[in-house]
Amino acid sequence: MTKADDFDMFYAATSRRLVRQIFAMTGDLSEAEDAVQEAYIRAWRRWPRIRAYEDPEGWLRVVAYRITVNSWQKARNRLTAHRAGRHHELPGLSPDLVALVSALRKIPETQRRAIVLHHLAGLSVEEVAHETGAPTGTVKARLARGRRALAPLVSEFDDSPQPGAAIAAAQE
Amino acid sequence: MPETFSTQLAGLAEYADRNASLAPAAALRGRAARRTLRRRGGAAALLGGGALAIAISLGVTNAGVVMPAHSTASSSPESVQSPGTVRLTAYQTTVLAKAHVTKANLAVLKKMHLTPLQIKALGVAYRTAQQIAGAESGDKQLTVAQIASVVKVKLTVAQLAALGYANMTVAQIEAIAKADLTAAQLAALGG
Repeated sequence: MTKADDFDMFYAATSRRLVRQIFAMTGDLSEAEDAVQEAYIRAWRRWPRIRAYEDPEGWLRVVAYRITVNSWQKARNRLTAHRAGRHHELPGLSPDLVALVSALRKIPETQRRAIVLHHLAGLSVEEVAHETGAPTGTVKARLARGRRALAPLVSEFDDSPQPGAAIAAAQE
Repeated sequence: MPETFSTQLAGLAEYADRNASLAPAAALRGRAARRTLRRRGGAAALLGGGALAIAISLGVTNAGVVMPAHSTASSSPESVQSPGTVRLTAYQTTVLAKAHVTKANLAVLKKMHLTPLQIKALGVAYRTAQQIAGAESGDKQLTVAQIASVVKVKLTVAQLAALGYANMTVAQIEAIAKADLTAAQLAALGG
């Protein structure tokens, strides 16, 4: 198998999964697509080395995530109101999922990342800690706060008096 | 976390699956290749400017007019015989005239996984630069960024030799970039 074939197979097997995860972290599908594709472009340029990593998919997820964070910082710096408005375009998404995306956007980025990695990517707390570079205790705290903030959207855990209160508490 | 939350996240994932539009892997590989080519081309242009900086550093006049190069400031002497004069601003000529390397620079660069051929070329560059700098030579170190740029771009021997002459700051490189030299001028000066 050639290097290109290997890369193509890996891309076919993992790219959509990464888009899902980055989309859940960002709430913006086009941004997730761009970031993931950019991560694969960077991966291809040093593919033999990255392929040899224990978890090349994790490497790509970290790179794609950092790309989105950098783009947020640039957007903030440029005060791009137009771009900020773009975040709300999610045609075809059911109202409850729109509410979930909205709630995810409102909690701090570190909590959102931990929630997505743990509950969508299926990583253990230790694996989340390894990928995010945070201690496991911190990851547990982020997960707990994130769950509390999202609880109003999940009926079994809806013990917050007001939806906004939980999100405000998570942001503290 | 309740199962419903995972279900909701799965709903988001399904939405992404339905609506995401990703380029084929081959297209991404092509983009990576084009980007690499562009970067190497840009680096070569900058290094060409570096060669120019040294070559003209001998012919600088106060008026900012650079006479045809008559130095030994290149590993390929014939490459520095400019067919004409290059006009730069006074500021540009000032910063370019300061370009030189030191033994310390070479010691650092030798640790940067260079090939023996590249190191040899740097040695030649260093000796020549010493002659150019003469008694007025200072002891400026290359910055980390400058060394990193040397390592990142896979330089040819000629390019590395050219860079070896120029202990250039970012501001100097920018000054060269702004000089708006033609491709012919760069080529004539061994870029």
